[in-house]
Amino acid sequence: MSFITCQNLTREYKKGDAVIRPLDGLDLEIPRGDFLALMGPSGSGKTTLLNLVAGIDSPTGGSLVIDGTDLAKLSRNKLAAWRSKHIGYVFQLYNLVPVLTAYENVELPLLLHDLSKRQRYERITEALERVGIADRADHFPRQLSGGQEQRVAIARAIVTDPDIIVADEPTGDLDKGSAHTVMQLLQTLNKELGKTIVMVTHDPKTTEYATRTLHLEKGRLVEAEVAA
Amino acid sequence: MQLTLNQRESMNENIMIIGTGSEEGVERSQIDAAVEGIASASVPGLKERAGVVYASAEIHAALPVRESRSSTKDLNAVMRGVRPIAFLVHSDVEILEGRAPRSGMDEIMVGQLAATRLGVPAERLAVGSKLHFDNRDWTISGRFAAPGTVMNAEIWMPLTDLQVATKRESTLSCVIVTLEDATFADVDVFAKSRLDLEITAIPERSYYASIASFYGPIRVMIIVTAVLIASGGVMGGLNTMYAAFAARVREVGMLQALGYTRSAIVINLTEESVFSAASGALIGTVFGILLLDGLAVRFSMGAFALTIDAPVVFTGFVGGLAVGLVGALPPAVRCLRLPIPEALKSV
Amino acid sequence: MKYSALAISLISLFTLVGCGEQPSQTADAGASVSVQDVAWLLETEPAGAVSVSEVKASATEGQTVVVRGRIGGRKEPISDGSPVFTIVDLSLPHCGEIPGDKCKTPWDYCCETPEDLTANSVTIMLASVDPRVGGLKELDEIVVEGAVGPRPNESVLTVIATGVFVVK
Repeated sequence: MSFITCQNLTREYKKGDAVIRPLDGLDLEIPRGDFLALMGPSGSGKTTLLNLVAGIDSPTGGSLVIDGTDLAKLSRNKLAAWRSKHIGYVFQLYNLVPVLTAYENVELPLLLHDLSKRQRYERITEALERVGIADRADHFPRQLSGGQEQRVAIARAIVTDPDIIVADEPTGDLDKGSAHTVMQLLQTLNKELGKTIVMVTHDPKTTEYATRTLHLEKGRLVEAEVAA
Repeated sequence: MQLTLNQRESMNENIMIIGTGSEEGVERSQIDAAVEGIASASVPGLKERAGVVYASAEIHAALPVRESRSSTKDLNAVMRGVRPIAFLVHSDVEILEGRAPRSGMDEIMVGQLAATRLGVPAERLAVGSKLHFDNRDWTISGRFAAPGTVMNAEIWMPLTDLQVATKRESTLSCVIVTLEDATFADVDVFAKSRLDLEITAIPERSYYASIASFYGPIRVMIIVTAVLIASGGVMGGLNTMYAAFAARVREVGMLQALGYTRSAIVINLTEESVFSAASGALIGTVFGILLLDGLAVRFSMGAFALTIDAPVVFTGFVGGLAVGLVGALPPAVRCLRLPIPEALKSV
Repeated sequence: MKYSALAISLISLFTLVGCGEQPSQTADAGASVSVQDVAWLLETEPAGAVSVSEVKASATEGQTVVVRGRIGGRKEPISDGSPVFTIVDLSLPHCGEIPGDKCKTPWDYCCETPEDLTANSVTIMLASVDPRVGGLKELDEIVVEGAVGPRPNESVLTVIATGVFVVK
């Protein structure tokens, strides 16, 4: 049985009288441990799909079942709790809180879990070490480079040990070298820790790190290919 | 100001005898100089010590004074010409330094807030310094205090000297008597029976209370101004909150994406806002106490001291907290109404 | 901005409400008045009343007089707790009778010269009660019966009242 199952998944918005449908009856299955890259032009629905999988948006039609849980049936607060447990989100613009140190930023999602200070410390240190930025734990975001900020953001995404990592153009704002580091990191998380990763990207180079790439257009899949 | 015009306890027993028709301003009143003697003799039961009846003949006048002969700027002073008995009738008056002015020596004494009334530094009215009016220099022979009364901002001088200076040798502004066995009715009977003297008896307290009611519209204006300034502060506070929260929309979106619930975020934002408002209110209170408390303010009847007391501090602080609490909620709710994907896209 | 406008309009509303003139003070008689307290209040008008100016011109100490006048002559013709009040000759118009006059205390006759007012006023003294107890109030037209008190000079005339009739 697949880990993430989308059936006839639809998302509609009303804009005035017009109905906009970024996702239009999408069928998709993502097995556990997959590293899926989503590509497509602007407005193709890839970010909408990512947001639905991340549980920060809700479908208007069809169903989205993740590991047996139908997300459409969860209340707002239950969905929030589900996100904190199962999802690690990596944003294009990192979204670190500027007044908190790298350590404190990584601690943020852990505050929603019932952990002692000691346990939090162990988890944060492990996450920062895994992304190779433990020596910058006391730095504020403004004291870090873009690549370092994104690594802190990845540490924040994995610190709760979620099953799924969703990444919205994680290298969109990075130079080539930093992008490579970040993509290698995601690949390692996928291969060594078995994290299921769903990534939206514009950069064909980054798809080389994924196990497969899907193209979307007008809310539907257009082709499927397996990455090298 | 209200406290100053409400006057003190001793006024309970003092009755002013002033000219009929001048009930609204003793400075306008003119009564025959003989009223002092007639009242002392006609009203039984006035306070008396060692054969001296507590009846103070006084002239109240607003006079322009100058700092020196060469000065061109007129300062508006409230003068009271008195006899020594005035210091007994007005038991609130206490000589702080120096002595009472002597008649015919061009001497005056000044109240604690007289400098504020004149708009000059307090040192300028030190004992021994001079003021110029009626073509003469007058030496300050003493300073007195009458806290919380209009007298505190007055300049006192011998009655005869002020009669000469105001060219009203045969008239007085008022006679103020202190009751002992007599009641107000006794003085009123005297005043109403002696139609020839054209006088009215009025308790000193009521006189200043009616003056206070005359200042009612000014109080309303002051309150309206204060409310306007306060609402400006509230609007400013709200604006700041909106701006501060608008800049954090993406952060709020991120927190929701991490799994924080909306209510947790609202509580957190409100806490932050109340905390910063409380800090602001605390700083404001400290500044208020340091800069404004005891500051003397002029008004036409004299001067009064601003008081930053416990209720004022409490109101200010609670007001600050309320801005923090109420000011945080609308922008926080607005912030959270945005769907998470849109919040994350905001710049 | 819209909040500021709202605040300002609310404030002006309060201000406007606050601007209304306060009614002049005219206390009514106390609710419980014993017959003894108001024994001086007459049911019928005493005969032979003369005007204030006439009495003032001719009355001598100890003479019994009946005089007709209007309560007024100063800002407080009746004072709380005091048994005396003043009345004015009916020929003098009070401020309320002068068109366009918006005086809040029309009974003070502030439009008359002090000399005219003195010549046309007498003092009424009751036997140690407050005139308000009998329901007397400013501008009431009354007829007073009583004896003339000491007259140290022609301006002074006090009637020690034995009876007061209020003209309806």
